Amino acid sequence: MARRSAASSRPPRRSPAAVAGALLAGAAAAAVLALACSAPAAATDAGALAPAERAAILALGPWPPAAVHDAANPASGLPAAIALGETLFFSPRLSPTGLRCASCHEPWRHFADGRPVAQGIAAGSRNTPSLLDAARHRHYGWDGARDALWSQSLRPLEDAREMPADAAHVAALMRGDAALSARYAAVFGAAPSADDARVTRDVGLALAAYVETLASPRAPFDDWRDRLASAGDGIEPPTSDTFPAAARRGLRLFVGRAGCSGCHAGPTLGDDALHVSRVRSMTAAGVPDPGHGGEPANAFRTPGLRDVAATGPWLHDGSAARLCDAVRPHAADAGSVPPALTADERRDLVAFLRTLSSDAPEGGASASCDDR
Amino acid sequence: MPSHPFTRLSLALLLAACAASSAFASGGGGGGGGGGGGGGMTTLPNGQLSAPDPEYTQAVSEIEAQRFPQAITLLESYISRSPEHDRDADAHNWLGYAYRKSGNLDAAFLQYDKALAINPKHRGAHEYMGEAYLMTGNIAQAEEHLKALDKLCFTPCTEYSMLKREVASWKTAHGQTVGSK
Repeated sequence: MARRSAASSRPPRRSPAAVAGALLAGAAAAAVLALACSAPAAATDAGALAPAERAAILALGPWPPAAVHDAANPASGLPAAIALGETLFFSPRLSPTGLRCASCHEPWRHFADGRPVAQGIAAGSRNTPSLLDAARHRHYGWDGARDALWSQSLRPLEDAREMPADAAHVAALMRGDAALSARYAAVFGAAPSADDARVTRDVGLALAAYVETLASPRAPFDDWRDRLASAGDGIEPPTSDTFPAAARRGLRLFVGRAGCSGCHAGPTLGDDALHVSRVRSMTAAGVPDPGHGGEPANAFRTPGLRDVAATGPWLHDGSAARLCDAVRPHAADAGSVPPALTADERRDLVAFLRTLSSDAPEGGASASCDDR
Repeated sequence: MPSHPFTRLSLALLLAACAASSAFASGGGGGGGGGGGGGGMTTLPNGQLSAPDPEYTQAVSEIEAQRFPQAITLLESYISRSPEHDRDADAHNWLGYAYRKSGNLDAAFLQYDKALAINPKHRGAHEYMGEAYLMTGNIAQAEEHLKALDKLCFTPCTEYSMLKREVASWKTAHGQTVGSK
């Protein structure tokens, strides 16, 4: 196995201000895109797809795209690093609390936790995001505060509410366990040093190498979209049990009048930029969650929507118990962009969102959009 | 980049695993799911299940005899022999059990998570995961898996009863109040 030295190629860390600048630049671009996309293509259920609609739909794929590696992470893509990261991800020893990364990012829950808000050694105030497709993000956390997966991978260890572990604990684990030490050396070229911060940084690199391998599977939408791509202009694949007519109506709303794809763009259906949320929430301390913390206020990172039906509760504060409840605040303000949607239209949007999961569960993700 | 096992789960396989009942009740509470293949059996071209794999069967015998290193070797070999074996939730659950009894909690947790990723309704894996969390002193996570078992067991089931007893024992030993449920 090829070995690379981490010492000579430490990942760059951008300043918070730089991260904010990049995010807000993205937000501005996305806002323009949202306006553009919300200029409706006058779609109707029965009508054929307009060229602009077809192009917008095709832009939501193909899936899966080519694998990506983090050029700033020397462990990225290395099988030994991926295996080491996997071991650490599932280990109860990484944190002295016994909590594991997998305690909140549970594989059987699509690498989320099924709770409204995160529960480490104390309750958090934000929903635990799925780790699927994290390799494709440019920013991490609901506040977009990190711009590297390896750095984000260490964040729960740094958070007193999650699985706190200081660098001394992490480094001592890597130095004190002969098997882990040997595997570390196989990846990073030397046994764990006495430099606690560097060893902990390397643990973050290995964790990120593993998390990079977690990807959403293909979903019914992808099959329909690929058939559309291979069909000639003006020819559209039929709907089916797995991609029903309601999903097609929802898809047209998604890329058209509802303006969803202005922010939920590209194959992951998320542009990774900060957008002002209509949902205002409180922190565990009882004060308003500031989101990113800068201007504009109440701005949060827009997540991707793949596998979304399987990862409820939804929204950054986990306040949406039903997928339709997550759609509602995005379309609640009449006269705004995007416009208000009827219950039937929200139901169609949910039907489309369900086709982004290979195994969308019933219950909270059901298409029920009745007002209550 | 190599594709991770968790990423290779197809809808069909998940549905097959999830639809399975606890038809294969392994000794020691290890079963509770994994039909449609699993339990050392594979699905034949005619849709029938094969006879249990000899290596798998021997591994279970080794576990029952508490010869865990031998069981680990056999199960690692069995799982690596084919993609279908790698999707055998029972095999991963037994392997987790053998690792846990050997004191390797890192590997045990990983195997239980793999079992649950294949079959989120695997009762044995929920029970054992809960017991592993008790070994780390994490009562809250253990109770999460007890709750999961409570939902999965429409009628009284061994996995729920066993974990409930272990949770109660842990609380008694640590001076916590034991709930009525």
